[in-house]
Amino acid sequence: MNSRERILQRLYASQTPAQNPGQKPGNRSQTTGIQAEHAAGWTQLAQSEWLASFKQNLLDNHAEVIETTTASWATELAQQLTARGVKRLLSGEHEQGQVLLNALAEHQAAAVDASLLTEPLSKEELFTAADAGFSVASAGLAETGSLLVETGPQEPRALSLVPPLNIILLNASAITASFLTLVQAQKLPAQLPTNVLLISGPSKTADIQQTLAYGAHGPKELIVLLLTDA
Amino acid sequence: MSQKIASDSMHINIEQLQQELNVEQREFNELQQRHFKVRAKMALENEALRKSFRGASDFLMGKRKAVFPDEGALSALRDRGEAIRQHSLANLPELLERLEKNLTANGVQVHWAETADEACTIIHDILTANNARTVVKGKSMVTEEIELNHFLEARGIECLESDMGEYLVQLAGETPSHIIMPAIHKNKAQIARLMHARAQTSDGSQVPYTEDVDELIGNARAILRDKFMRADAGISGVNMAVANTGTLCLVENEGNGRMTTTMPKLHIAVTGIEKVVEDFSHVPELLTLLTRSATGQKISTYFNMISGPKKAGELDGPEQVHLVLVDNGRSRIFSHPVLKPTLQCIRCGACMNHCPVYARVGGHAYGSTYPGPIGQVVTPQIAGLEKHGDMLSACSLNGACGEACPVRIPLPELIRELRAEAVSPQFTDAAAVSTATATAVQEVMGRGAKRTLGESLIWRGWALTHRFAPLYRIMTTAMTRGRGLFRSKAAAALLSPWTDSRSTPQPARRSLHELAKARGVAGQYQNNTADKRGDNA
Repeated sequence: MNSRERILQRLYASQTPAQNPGQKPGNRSQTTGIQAEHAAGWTQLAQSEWLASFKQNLLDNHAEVIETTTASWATELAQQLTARGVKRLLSGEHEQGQVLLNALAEHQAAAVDASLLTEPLSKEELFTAADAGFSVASAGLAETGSLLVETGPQEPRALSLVPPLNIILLNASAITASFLTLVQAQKLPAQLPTNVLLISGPSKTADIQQTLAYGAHGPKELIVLLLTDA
Repeated sequence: MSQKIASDSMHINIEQLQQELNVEQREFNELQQRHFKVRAKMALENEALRKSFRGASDFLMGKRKAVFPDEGALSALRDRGEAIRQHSLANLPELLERLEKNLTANGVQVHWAETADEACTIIHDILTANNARTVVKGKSMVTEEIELNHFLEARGIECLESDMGEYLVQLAGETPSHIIMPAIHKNKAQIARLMHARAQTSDGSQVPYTEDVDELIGNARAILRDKFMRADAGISGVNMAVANTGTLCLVENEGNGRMTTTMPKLHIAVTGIEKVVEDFSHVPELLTLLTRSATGQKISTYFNMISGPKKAGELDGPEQVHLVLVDNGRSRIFSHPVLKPTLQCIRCGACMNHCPVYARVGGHAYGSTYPGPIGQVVTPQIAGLEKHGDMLSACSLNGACGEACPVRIPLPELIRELRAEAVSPQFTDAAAVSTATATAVQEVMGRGAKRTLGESLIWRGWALTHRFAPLYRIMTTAMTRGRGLFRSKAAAALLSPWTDSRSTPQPARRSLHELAKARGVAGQYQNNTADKRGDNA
């Protein structure tokens, strides 16, 4: 018998039912009383209040929220990047990334060297040269001000992690009440991507004398572009 | 002494500073070898340390309170947390098998380790099979528990902690003093000296002396990012493992957990077998309980859900992901009818933040990976009552930990149970053994380790005295009439362990019974059958 079998054998031998069998934790298709209450509490609120909560939470966590539209976000971002002196921006190979590249060209922001990643980038270049990463979120959470980023071939994991400036695009209509309602509504893919992230601010730490410092290992800044018409 | 040198940044003698830190490290190691009581006493005498812990406890308690404004909602959420964790434990073996099946289907390799040593060996084997010489570690208490760093370093593998607190603690050659804030015992000035004396930038130069927190973090960031870029492997813990989807969830603020699990080609996750939950729908409530209870945050900066190594077409992520499931005594805890809720723990640290004893003696006094109330419950069960039974005395049973626990672990009851286990006879008599085998209960490691003949005789005498009224009267008469003896030198010596830090107990001139009788209330308690037996005899 190997370790696996011995561990499982011991566990099966002494298995007992839950102490409070009355409290069933439920599953994705069942909603318990308190969960229903939680969802109902949010449903009562107007969309504008969801937005307000989402924004406030992000601001509290030191992120910047720019409300913009489908037509103008790319131009606005191109201006921001130029103003901030960003030299190297990386994006996944997706439609929004292409829109941003076009806007940068139109804006004549030649100083910003932007590219869509189609091949693995050397770690040296990623860590030393890239100063901004552009990602697209598939959902937002009002309760916590979180962005759901599903990584994959078009959305490399490192773009929201390594460059000091992290920019994330989100459609306002994709904002849902909370992580709980998101999961309950089965909005996560049944077969999860290899890496799914909730991002709620720039990287931070309070490990030295409980003093908050941003840019611990990852991004020092997070800019959220919120498309209010999408 | 050393503080003075450090604060005068213009005149720091680096050699002298390094020597001082070496001395401090040696003193720390020596103290960790001493008895619990010695460590507790030393900690209480250390003003700076007490200030650090008092400040941190107040800070974290305040933050938690602010983020749980509604008592009723908190209580309902704690019920949910308890239900989810108990459901996970009630189905633990099935869930572990399901987790293994789904992780394997996702391309994650699953390993099982019965002991700390086996876990270390498995991890070492994976590293050597992949020619990995340098490892970056995300924060993981279970790898502290199995002492993985020592194991790997002894075999020539560099193992660098990357959580800021863990990094500082490793730099100092110490161990974490809190499970969420590992360097909570150090103040800015101490960290400034440490970084200046011991941290080296990637080009091998010394880090300039600074007490500015942003600069300190910036310096550590530069050093650690270089390591993330180059490391052969990343080792992380797991906060929750979801059986139905085969997903490993990590909660963090810094980004080091994501770096560890994203940048190196090889990712090894290590977790205790109790961290599994059945369904993804159980995750959000545990997550909210965890971050709110731990640091008073609505959510952490990152919630990282890993369901496999990088797939074809993906540009980054590890090529291999491994999960090591560690038992190390957990299946024994699982078998115990009273102590089983120990495994409900989600490692938030709220119990230590709310513990009045922890706030005064700090984490190192416990001499174990897990300090505070949960440490007092976990450690003796994992490492044995012989070695760690003494820490059970560091509790006033005030109940604050139990009230703070987000998953309602009855911590005071578990501490009391373990105190009883420590002085209970071992399962030697036939009856106890047969009951134990019938239910597959395994006795707590080191059961009876604190049992002494003297103490058990005293308790027997105590029980006897309270059963027989004449004996009780003789004893109380002796205590009240002989009360002068308590002031004698002999009594003072005998009572000194108690009276060193407390006033000497002083029996009254007359016992309560005598006073009651004198007031004519004697008749009332004669109705009591127990008393009738004695008084009317």
